[in-house]
Amino acid sequence: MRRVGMLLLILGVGVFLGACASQGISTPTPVPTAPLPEAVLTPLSQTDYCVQCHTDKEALIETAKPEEKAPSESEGVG
Amino acid sequence: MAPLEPWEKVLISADFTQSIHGRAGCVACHRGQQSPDKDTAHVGLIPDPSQDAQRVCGVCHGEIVDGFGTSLHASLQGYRTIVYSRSVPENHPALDTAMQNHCLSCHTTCGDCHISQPKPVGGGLLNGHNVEKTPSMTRVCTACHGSRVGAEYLGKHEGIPGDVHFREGRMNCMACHAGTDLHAAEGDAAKHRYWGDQQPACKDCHAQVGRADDPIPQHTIHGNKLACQVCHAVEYTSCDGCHVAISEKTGNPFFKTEATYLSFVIGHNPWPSRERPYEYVVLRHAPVAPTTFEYYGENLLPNFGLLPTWTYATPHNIQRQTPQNRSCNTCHGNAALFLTADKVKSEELEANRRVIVENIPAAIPIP
Repeated sequence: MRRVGMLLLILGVGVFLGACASQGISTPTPVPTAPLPEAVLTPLSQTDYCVQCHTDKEALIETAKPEEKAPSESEGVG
Repeated sequence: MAPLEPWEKVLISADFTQSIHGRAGCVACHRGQQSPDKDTAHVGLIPDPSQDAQRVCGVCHGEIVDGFGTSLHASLQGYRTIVYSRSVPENHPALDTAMQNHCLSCHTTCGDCHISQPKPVGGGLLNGHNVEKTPSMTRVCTACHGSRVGAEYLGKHEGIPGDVHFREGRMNCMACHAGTDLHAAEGDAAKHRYWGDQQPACKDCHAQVGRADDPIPQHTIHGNKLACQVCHAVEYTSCDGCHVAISEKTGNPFFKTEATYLSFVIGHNPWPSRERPYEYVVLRHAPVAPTTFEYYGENLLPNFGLLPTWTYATPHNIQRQTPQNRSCNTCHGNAALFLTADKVKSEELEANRRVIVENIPAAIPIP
C-alpha cells in the first residue's frame, strides 16, 4: 500500500512538472532562410550628368571655354 | 593670389557630393537640366544661386538670410550714405547709375564668401564646392579688401610691419570680425560702418585698458580722448581724386585715381558719438573729388563740402610700439603728425574744417 502511494506521488509530480514545462517559453525551431541582400546606394537619377562632368578634370579642361577678359583701363588703386 | 584656370573654377571634389550640401543635388540649387550635352545641361543654369538666398540658403539658414539684407556686404549702403550726403535728391538717379557701374559690383552673396572666391576677383570654387564655414582670409576677405586692409594687415608695404595680431598672433580676419557682425547690421550700423556700435572694438579683448588695474598709465591719462589707432597704428594708404567713366573703346566702366600714398595723419573726430567719443582719431584721405562723377552729369556733388575728405579710419596695422608713442613729445608738439590746414588742398579746406587741428597739443616740458 505504501509502495502504491509512493508511485502515485511520483506520477503526480511528473504530471505537474510536465504541465509546467508546456506553459514555458518554447525554443524556436531554426528555419532555413535566404541570405539578406547587401545594401546598395541608389542615386536619385540613374546618371547625374552634372556631377559626372564637374568631377572629371580632363573633361572640364577639354570643354571649358577660354575666358576673354578685356584689359582693364582703370589706373591707380581701386 | 594666383588666378584660377577656367576648368579649375568649376571642378567639384568627390567629397562634396557626399556632403550635406552636395546630397541636395546640383539642379536643386543651380537649376539647369540633366543632360550629357554641356549646352543643353546649362540651359536655365544659375551660376550663383545664393543671389536668391531666400530660395536656396534660406531653406535651412533662414535666420541668417533674413538679416543679411542689412549687412553692408550685401547692401553696400555705406557708399550711398556718403555719396548722397554730398549731393541732392534730384541727382540721385544719375549717381545710382554711376555707383551701379563702378562701386556696387563688390556686392557679396553667401556663395561669394563660403563657396567661391568673390566675383570681382574672378570667382572660382574655393574647395571643390565644399561649403567653407570660415572663409579663407587671403582668398576671400583680402581678395576684396586687399589694397588697404590686406596690404596693411599682412605687412605688404615695404618697411612697414604687418599688424601685430597677424605677426604675433597669426589671427585671421574672423578672429575679430565675428560672423554675426558680417551677416547683419543693426540700426545706424546698417547705413555706414563707422555708425553704431564698434564691431569689433579693441576693448572686446583688451578689457583692462583704461581700468584701475591697467599697468600702462598713458591709457588712463588719454582715456577716451584718443582712438586706439592714434597711438597704435602706423602709416596707411590714402588716395586722391578718383574719377569714373565708361570706355568709348570697350564700353566697360573704369576709374582713375590721381594719387595713392602712405601717410599717418591725426585729426579731429568727424563723427563723435556715444560709441566713438574720441576727440582725436586717425584720418585717411578718401578718393572722392567734386568731379568724381562728372561723366554722369554736371555738378552731381553740389554739397561736396558737407563732409570731410579726410575721413575716420581704422588702419589694420596695429603695433604695440609706434614712432608716435615712443615718448610724450614724439606726439605732443609734433606738427608733422596732425592734419593742419597747410596739408589740405585749398578746394577741400571748407570740407575739412571740422577735422583740421588748428592748435596741436603742446609739447610737454620734461624736467
